[in-house]
Amino acid sequence: MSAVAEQAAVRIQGLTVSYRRRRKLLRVLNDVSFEIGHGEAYGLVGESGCGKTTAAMALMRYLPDNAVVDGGRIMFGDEDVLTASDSTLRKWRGERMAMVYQDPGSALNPSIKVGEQIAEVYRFHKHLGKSDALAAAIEMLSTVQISAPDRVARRYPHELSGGQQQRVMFAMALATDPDLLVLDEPTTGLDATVEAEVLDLVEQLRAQFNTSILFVSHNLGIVARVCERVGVLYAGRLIEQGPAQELFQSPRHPYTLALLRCMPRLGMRKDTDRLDSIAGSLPPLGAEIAGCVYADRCPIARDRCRNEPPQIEPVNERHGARCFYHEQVPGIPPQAQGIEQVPAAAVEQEALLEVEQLVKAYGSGTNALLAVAGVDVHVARGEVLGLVGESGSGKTSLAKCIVGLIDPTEGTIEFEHMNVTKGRSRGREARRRLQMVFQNPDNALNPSHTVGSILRRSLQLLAGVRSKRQQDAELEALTRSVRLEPRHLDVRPSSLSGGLKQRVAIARSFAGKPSMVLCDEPTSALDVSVQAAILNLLVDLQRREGVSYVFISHDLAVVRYVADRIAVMYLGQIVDVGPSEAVFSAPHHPYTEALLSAIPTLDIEAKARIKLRGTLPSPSDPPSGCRFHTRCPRYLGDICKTEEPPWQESTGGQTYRCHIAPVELQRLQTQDADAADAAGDPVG
Amino acid sequence: MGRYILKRLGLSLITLVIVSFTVFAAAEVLPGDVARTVLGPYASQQQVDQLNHKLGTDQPLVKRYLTWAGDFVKGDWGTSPILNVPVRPLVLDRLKNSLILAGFALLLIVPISVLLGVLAALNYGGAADRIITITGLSFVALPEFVVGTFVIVVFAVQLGWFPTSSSVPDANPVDIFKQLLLPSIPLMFVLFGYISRMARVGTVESLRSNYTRTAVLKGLPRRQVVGRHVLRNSLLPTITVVSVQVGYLVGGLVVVETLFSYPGIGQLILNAAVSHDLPVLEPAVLMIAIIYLVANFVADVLVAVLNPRVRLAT
Amino acid sequence: MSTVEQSDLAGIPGGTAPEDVASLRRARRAELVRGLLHSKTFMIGAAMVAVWVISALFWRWITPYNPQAVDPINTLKAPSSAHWFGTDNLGRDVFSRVIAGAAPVLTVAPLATALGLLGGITLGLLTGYYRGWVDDVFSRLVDALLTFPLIILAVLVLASLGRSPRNVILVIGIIFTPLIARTVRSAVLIEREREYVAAAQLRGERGPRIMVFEILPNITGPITVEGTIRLGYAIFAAATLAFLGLGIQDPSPDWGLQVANARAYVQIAWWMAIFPALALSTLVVGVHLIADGIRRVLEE
Repeated sequence: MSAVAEQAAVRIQGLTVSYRRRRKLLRVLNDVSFEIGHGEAYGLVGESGCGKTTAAMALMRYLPDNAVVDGGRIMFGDEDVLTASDSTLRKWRGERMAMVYQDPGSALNPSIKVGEQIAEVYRFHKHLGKSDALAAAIEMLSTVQISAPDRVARRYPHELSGGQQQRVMFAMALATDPDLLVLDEPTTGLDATVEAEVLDLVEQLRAQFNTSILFVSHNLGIVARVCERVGVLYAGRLIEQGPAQELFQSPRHPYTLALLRCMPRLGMRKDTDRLDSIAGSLPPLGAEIAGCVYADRCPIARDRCRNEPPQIEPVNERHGARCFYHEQVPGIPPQAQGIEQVPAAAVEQEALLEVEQLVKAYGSGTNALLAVAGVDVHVARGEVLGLVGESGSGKTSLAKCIVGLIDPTEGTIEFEHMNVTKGRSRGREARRRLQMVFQNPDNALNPSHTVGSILRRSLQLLAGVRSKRQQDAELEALTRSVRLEPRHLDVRPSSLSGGLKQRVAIARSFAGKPSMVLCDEPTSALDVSVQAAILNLLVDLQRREGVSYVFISHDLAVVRYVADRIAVMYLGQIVDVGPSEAVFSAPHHPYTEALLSAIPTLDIEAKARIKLRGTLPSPSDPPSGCRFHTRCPRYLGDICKTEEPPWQESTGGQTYRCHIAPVELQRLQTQDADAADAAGDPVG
Repeated sequence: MGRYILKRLGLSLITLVIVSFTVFAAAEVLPGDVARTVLGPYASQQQVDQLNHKLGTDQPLVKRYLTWAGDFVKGDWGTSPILNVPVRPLVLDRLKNSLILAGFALLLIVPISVLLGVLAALNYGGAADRIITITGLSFVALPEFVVGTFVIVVFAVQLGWFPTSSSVPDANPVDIFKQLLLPSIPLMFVLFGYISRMARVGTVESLRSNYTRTAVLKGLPRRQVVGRHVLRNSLLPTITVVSVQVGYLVGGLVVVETLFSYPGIGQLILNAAVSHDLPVLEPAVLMIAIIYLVANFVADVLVAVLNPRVRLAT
Repeated sequence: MSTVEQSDLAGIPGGTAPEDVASLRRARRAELVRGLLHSKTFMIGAAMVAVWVISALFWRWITPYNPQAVDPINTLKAPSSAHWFGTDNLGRDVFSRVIAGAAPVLTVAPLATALGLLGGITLGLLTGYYRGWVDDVFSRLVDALLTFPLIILAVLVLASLGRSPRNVILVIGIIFTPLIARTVRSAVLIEREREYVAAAQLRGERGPRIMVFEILPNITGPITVEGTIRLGYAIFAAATLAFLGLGIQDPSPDWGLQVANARAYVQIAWWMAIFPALALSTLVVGVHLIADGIRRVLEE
């Protein structure tokens, strides 16, 4: 450690921060210490509420008004950021330390041209004149690979795409070649392919600039990809830190281990593998804990852990874990080990849902926006169909048409041989059999009703249970089936955690014994450890009751884990559909290929990324011919521009829409993968 | 942007037609007989009918509206049966007087309100903020006649600095202040409340925004952050608020002009309404609506010019 | 707010005792009340309003003189120990009239506000939930309505319908309806996009039930604030109409009316105008302080 200390660009020592809320001080960061070397990328990971953003903001000394720094130092060179004078701080910010954060759309001033916003940095820190500063800004825009930088410089932020906005933020941050760059979830909220672009940019900029980076993220895969060293935060404490590769491959804190096991890894299938989850939940903010903060949830905790706070114990020179028994951590068995997957009800060949040539248009005339442009979907009884696509692909509109929240413009929807095209005129039977689980459990439950009354109402309307006594019995069974406890029935949703709320929402959709449930990103608002538990529950219910799911998610690992078949949407059309394993392996549609290569994984393995050109076209003015031709990495030529591609049948029942035949596509796609394997480092 | 302006203009015209019809219908349909009011209770029914026929009040409503609207556009506003004077010069003269009073109040109070609103936001949660906020809150609540009574008692009766009733000032600046300051104070109280609140809210929002954080973390001095990044975005909504206040101002004028016996359009409207003098009432109210719509239209265009999001949208 | 901890799989420690859970709801309401009691703005406003509410209810027992009693010998007397606030042009005791004057305004304004709330909530729920052309027409009409000063509208109507307290209540209530509806509508527009509304539609709830049982309970905050602010403006409007001679008529001790009558004597008897004006000021400012206090506590 001492070698690092000498050359560290930033040293955080014993940082302790609290927030004042209703006259109480709630501790969010407790004695956090770490260092970032010159030119090093340090990743800070943790679930929501662990204090990672507070740490990032403390580094810039930009904490909210109700934050109180109780102790610690942030040494930047040989001065303390926390006690530096305002004028020193102003000189540092923008010149020696810079920041890029989530949601670039709101981080840029809406009424100033982006070129000017970057130029400001040069004018104040480098004292350049107006035109020199603007020229430097344009230069910087080309450094972050914005095409036609002089044109973009004259644009306002709202005229740029999300990816471009984030590039502008990077240009602004790196304008003065700062010593420290703080990145706070810089890709959260961006689509997978855009996220991959931004991460490529980060890697490339690191080669050009010798900046130290603090990378804050909840996504372990991203951190593994970008950072050399990683620190794991839990309940305001740094519980483990070490070299990224080592830490992710042989974690020495029970929490890190559990967190890693929660993530569905590519290749895991619901039929064979059960996901690990972490028992219990985070201690409430500001809780006074005598011993180890993780003791309540730890499988190897002993009395000592509950009474005495552990220090960081060295595993080796560069790796340490805040655990008395870190040597035993590699031996902890997977928590799901020994729990058999619920045997699946057989998938019948009977068609349950038949969507034919569905079109959903918003607006009319020349302004019409075709969100869904002629889509066929077939789901068999007992089958899980995964629906994948980025924002603007039309998957949400399609889902809303299927459950009947909106009416399609054209096409038919048949469900259990009933025509349910018009959502409003659906009978009770159709509604009962086709339900939905929403993305955001905070929104999906009415905050003014108790959990009990929410479920009771669904039993009444969907299952038609009228008598109080029968309701009580059904309610109890329903509650038990989603592993809620009777005491939860008397509270309102606001006093439940996110995972519990989602259980209530799931129970509600199962109240009428449905044959199909549409799950719209059911875990994307949840933390990884909670996600695993909810996925386990959904899989158990599906297998036990034999229901079908249409499962929408942007997380391909999750979809691959739960889905039997997968449909990939792009700009209102399905471009690739088939059994999940077939869709996930070559040959597949070039867009699917790009999506797959965009996933950041923990496998530290160099992969050639498929880069998409340009930005997503507007659904109100889709490209001619193949809708993907403007961005396709396998673009053939004019035929893609002028002719709509045919459906091609590939092996294993998969079909995709492309001018390239399966054999040729197979050759192209495996060739590239081999080349990448050859170029990449051997697996460590 | 040209399209945007045309669209706003079209909407304003539609609103104007709705308003003019509503004014006309409301005034004509409500009970109360003009001829009866003019002729008094002892006139015979035949005389009343005759006068009604002469005034055209026995025609169907839509037809009367179209005739009336046509005459209004042509500038033929008729004569007041009660005051026995031509309506157009009367209304326009009173309108001019009111605009002088309202303009005086706006000129004085808008800069002060914006300034104090921004000041409160910059001291968010501090003593200055609390004082400005609570003052604004209390000022908005006070009816104009209450404030007017206070200022008359203190500055006109007790101190004798101003007259207890005001008349239209001549061009002399001393006279302008002498005649207009007292009656404009009640209006300024209410305006201050609204405008300072909006300026404060807009600025607080802008201060908390992510783009302000970006500006601060860029290392810009506070004056640059506030001047270039915060105010540019926070004062846009205030423009709209000021224009909407024009509508309020006329309502306030009714009270203030009555209290200070100032010969403005508010007083004219009140008297015309009470005496059921429709030929005066209708064009007077319509002129108010036109002024309001013009003010809003100007504000919309101004916001569009200043806000790239609107300016660049087709 | 504390979160109920829950184990992922039942039976693992880390949960809260059931009795804690049951009391959470009460705790939340208690927290709101405690917030209000801690809010200086709210408490000062409440004290100011309380004085006038007590006066309005019990003026018969509080006033030293009959507020209507004319005393031709003691007209226009300055404040003294016998008449704290002096006497008016008819020799009536101004103090007694100020105390009794709380009654008419605190009858008219709350009733007008209640009428406006009833209409505004109904209209706001309907237009916000169903949208469509009804909503478009409504929005256009409200825009048009706002182009002329509402006080002029009230003047127009009262001049024709006659000047009774009932008509004042009706006019203010009707004018408030679209204004309150606008606030309710924008709150409904936010709520209807929440997924619990979609969930209710999916289980087959009908529109009216969704509006009243699903959406309405979640927008009581903005409605309370809007209602309180409107109450302030109702007092403002009722007093102004009385001042203009279009509301309550003599010999009522209404404050607006008193100030109007005092206008002619302001040179010689300032007390006739000042005391009712002060009374009115404290009442409206008090109501607005209450509204601000509630808004702050709800926003926390």
